[in-house]
Amino acid sequence: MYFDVNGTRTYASTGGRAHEQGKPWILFVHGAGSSHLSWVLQTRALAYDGWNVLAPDMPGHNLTGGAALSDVASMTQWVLAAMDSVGCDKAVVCGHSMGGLIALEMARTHPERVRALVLVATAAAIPVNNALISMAETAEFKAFQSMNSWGYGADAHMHDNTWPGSSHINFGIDMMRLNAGGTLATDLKACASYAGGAEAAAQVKCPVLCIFAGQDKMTPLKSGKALADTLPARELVIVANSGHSIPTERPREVNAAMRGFLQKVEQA
Amino acid sequence: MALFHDLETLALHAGHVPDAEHGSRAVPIHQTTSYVFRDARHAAALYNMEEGGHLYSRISNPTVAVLEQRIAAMEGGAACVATASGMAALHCVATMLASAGDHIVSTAQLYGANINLLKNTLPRFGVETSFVHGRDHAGIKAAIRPNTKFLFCEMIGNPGLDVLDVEAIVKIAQEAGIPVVMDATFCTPFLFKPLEHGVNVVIHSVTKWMGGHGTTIGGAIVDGGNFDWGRLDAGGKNRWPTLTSAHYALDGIVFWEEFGPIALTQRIRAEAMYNFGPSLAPLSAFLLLQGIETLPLRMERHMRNTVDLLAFLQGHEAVSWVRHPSLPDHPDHDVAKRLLPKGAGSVIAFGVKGGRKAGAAFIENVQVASHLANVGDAKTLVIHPASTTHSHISAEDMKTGGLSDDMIRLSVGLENIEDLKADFDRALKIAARAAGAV
Repeated sequence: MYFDVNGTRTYASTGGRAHEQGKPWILFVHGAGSSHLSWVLQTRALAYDGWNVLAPDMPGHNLTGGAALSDVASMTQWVLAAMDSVGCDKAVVCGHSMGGLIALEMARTHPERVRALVLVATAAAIPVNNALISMAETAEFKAFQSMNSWGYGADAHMHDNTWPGSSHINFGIDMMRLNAGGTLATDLKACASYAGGAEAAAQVKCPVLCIFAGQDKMTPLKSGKALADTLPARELVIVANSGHSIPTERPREVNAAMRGFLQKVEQA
Repeated sequence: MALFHDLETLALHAGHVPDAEHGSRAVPIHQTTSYVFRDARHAAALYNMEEGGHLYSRISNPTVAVLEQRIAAMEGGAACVATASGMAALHCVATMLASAGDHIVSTAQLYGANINLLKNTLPRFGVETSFVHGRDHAGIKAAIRPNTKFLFCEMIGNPGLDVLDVEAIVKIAQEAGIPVVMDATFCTPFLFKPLEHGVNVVIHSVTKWMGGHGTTIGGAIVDGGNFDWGRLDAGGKNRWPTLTSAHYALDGIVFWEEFGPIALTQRIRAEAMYNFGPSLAPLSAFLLLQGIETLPLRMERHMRNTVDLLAFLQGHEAVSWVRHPSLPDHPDHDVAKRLLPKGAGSVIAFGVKGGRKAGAAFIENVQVASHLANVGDAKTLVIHPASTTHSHISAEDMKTGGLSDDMIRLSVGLENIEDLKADFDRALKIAARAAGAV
């Protein structure tokens, strides 16, 4: 669906189902250089499960206009504004990588809008190598290739895929190409400069599901576990044979974990 | 350390990781029409394209999916759909991008069946094609209309062996905002990767060098994932409404919004495979995979034998002319040198002194080479296109395609080169005597 957020024409996937009043909301926040496409194997599944799904492309990403936002705080404000635009008061917030930082910030600054958190392949802090930022600024396509090489596990490098006929890595590179030029560099700098993760995590009161990957080179498992250890009410699922891009690499494991968690959230 | 596995590794492994239960190292043949659903919700999820998996082998199959993922990986594409033949691949792409009232621009130097599909079949359904010589760049540019949906071409024209200056063609298409669809059958990703040069969709007859053993008919469509299907036409309307407006099924899914870089292949999966049904058989996929495993090795030998046979034919007194893009007198020699540094394919065209009669005598008297209608086999093949593969196209189209009555098309195989030379020498001498030409 297309809608307006702070004057920017914005696209969000609804998972192929129109929103309906009375249904619970689930919000998907994508990672650096990514878009709603990184959640395609969750959005449709949960929409058909009966959730109102909102998976926006943030400014400068894929089908949403404007320029990429420069820090996690402004990204958080923008996501909250997107929720306002579609009439979503409160949602389960799922964040992948940089989206996990935004989800943590949402829980810290607006706990009343966050029903529960699903943190996927993320950490309290995501330091980014300066060489990668520089590459994203000066040779963007090479940075896409590097990110997608490091962002996938061993099986994805062999193009093993649950989605018949598709290549994780090549899809990932092409997904990044759909963003406005310079978006990846801006996102990476936003990740690198965000220092509020530990403080935000300490303030989280809602239930949290952490899904981390055993072969993650972008947000290594130990940093994910360190985050999980600071969260009071959390479940931890480790997908051993996945790289950083767990939502597409291991959608069955991710969706099974999410469905179990969401059922408990619904019953609470 | 390289970021990604290289072609040789992908040819052996891509698309398949041994399963946890059996650990089968070779790709298993899933010879089944259908798949048991875990429950009603699972069945619905597969029909709704909520999750990956297989529901009916006309749509997808685990063995076929390995082949698709292997080809996508080798070409650097976002996704691939395998089809029952190369012709089915072109048909699927054309019908998923163009509808009645739409238009295609194509280079004229094409395989005969490609010409017939575009020239004679699609017009009956309201899709018109303008053919322009691949070297006539101004003509190609001028032929593009507001309703042109794609530019079609072959990298190495069959059988005229024209080599396309693909970078010039891509530039024209990019300026016009339309995608380039290329049949790269004669190259395989060993010789040329079209997506790295800006092509948007690659088609293969995998029957040929990819499979490489003359056992199996098959095709492939590789989605480059590098075209913006969301572009609007001059009137502000969606230029590719099959990808950017609501589908008739799946709750009105918009493939471009939902799947982005793989919108085209998902539309093909959801409509062409459902409604036309040009699916590849699992056993065929298995056989093609066996061939692909050795593609890099075979291509090296194909190219080495081609170089040797070219020298042999050029020096033979019974041969009137030899055509191959690696020869300096070929009009596309410079283009081939620039774009195809590992070789310009293993098909050679040549004329036997004495014309049609001598040509017929030659192909009837080879013993190691086989007289048949195929290319890209491990075995050496010969044919007389004017009386066979291209017999259904007009004299004018023959001329445009670079064909002549005396032309022999030779697909160079992997045999010992001395055996091939001896076989050809003997058959050429018989041909010369038959024609009284030497």
